[in-house]
Amino acid sequence: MSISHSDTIPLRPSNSQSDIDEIRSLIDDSVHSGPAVVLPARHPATTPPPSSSPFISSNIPPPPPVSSSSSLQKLQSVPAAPPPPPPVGNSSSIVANGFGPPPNTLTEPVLDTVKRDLWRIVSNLKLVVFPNPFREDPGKALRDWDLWGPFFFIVFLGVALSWSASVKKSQVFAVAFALLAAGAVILTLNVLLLGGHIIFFQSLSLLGYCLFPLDVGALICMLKDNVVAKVIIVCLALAWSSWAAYPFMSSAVNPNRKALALYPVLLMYLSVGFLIIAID
Amino acid sequence: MVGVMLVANDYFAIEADTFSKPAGGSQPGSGEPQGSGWFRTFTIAAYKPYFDVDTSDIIDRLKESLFPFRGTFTEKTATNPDLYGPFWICTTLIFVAASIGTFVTYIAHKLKKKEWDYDINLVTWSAGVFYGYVTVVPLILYVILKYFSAPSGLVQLFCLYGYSLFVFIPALCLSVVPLEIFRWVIAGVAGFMSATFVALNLKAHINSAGERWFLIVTGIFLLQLALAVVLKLYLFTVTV
Repeated sequence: MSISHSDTIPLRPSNSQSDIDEIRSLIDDSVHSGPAVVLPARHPATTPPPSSSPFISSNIPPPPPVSSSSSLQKLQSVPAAPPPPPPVGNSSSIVANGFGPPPNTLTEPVLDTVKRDLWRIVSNLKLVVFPNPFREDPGKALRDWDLWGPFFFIVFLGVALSWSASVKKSQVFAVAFALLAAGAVILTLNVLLLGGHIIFFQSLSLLGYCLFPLDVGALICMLKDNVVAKVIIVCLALAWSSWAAYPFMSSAVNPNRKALALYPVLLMYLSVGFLIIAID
Repeated sequence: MVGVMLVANDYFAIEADTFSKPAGGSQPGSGEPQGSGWFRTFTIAAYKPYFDVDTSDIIDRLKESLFPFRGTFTEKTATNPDLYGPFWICTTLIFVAASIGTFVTYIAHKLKKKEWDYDINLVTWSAGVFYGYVTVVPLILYVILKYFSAPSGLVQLFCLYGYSLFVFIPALCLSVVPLEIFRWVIAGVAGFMSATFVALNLKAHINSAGERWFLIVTGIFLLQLALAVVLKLYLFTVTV
């Protein structure tokens, strides 16, 4: 039945759609038409001679006759993958199938993209700023680094400082932003020059996330104007930031040079803390 | 941001090595990731030898800079001059100078119950002074020494000048005390120590070669003293 069915399937011109897409659309068709279309497995030697109907196992329907030998090889490697779950019609679901192009993030709704990025920022934040020594996967934050979080935190700190300044607001924002951005780059270069092993953007990402406690401190200082309270809050925020940044920085270099790598981090956070106290 | 692109370039160059196996070794740069002649100055690998120091080395050199009359600094750093010390000492100095200067003006204004605004120019000004001093003066000295045929390595000069500024950090911290005489004394002592450090270490090096060493040595001595005076005047002169 299915063989005759496949005989009547019109050949698509091969230049309008790739072979993999052909297979994918056929799978879609077969699933929608019902799972009863099943081919018994056949040994290639016993199949009738045409090279155009290759051996395919289990419940995947045969592809249409293919014209090139390269696609023949592709199809023969295809049965090695397990049969995919029936793809849902909604294009925004992330289905890991072995066939076809990766899930199309270009066509998903914008809200989904934003939610996904926000969720990644929150999870990275939790991993970096609240380090739990007993967590199962200590390297997760390092692998899933992103730069949106750090960018947001740096801009937020600049805006908070600029808001609390009474004069030269734009100059304050410029100095804060330049200090933080250039500082992160210089700190990473410092570790690399000392012979440490980190990836450049990963380190930028981590240093950016460790700014979160200082962001909170700056926000509170914006609302409350007493100098002594500011000093206490900033000291606490500073201690928290340094404590969050310590494991990443110290593990990246030779233990003899740990202090050399950590001191600049402390210096940068101290100078930011000082800016927060001084701007009023 | 050139450094960013070229660090990334370094990283990607290593990636490219693993993917593009040269067919018959025809690609020139595939074996060494260093690139051609002048481009090397922009890679990280070119500067790594100047950061080959441990924490104990740095602490030794800092202690050495506090005893200017020994004159042994250049010998100790001749084989392994580092750029870590000078750069981070300058950066720390900028931060300390800006914060102490701000604090001093804040206290002065509050004591007289006057309005006070944070002056962001302190940070930018002190950055310009310190980085400029440590970069420009050794360069000029290098050229002068070459002219007088007593060549010294450029990195050794950077190293010397960088560590000579270390004594200003405690001096600035002590200058918070609001007594004018005390501040002048501190500035004088720090300037003298720093200038002697540079002068004696340089003298040990150029004494062997050349006539005009006395002139050069006194020149840099006075220059360092001038730096101390400028610092004192700008940071601690408070007009309320």
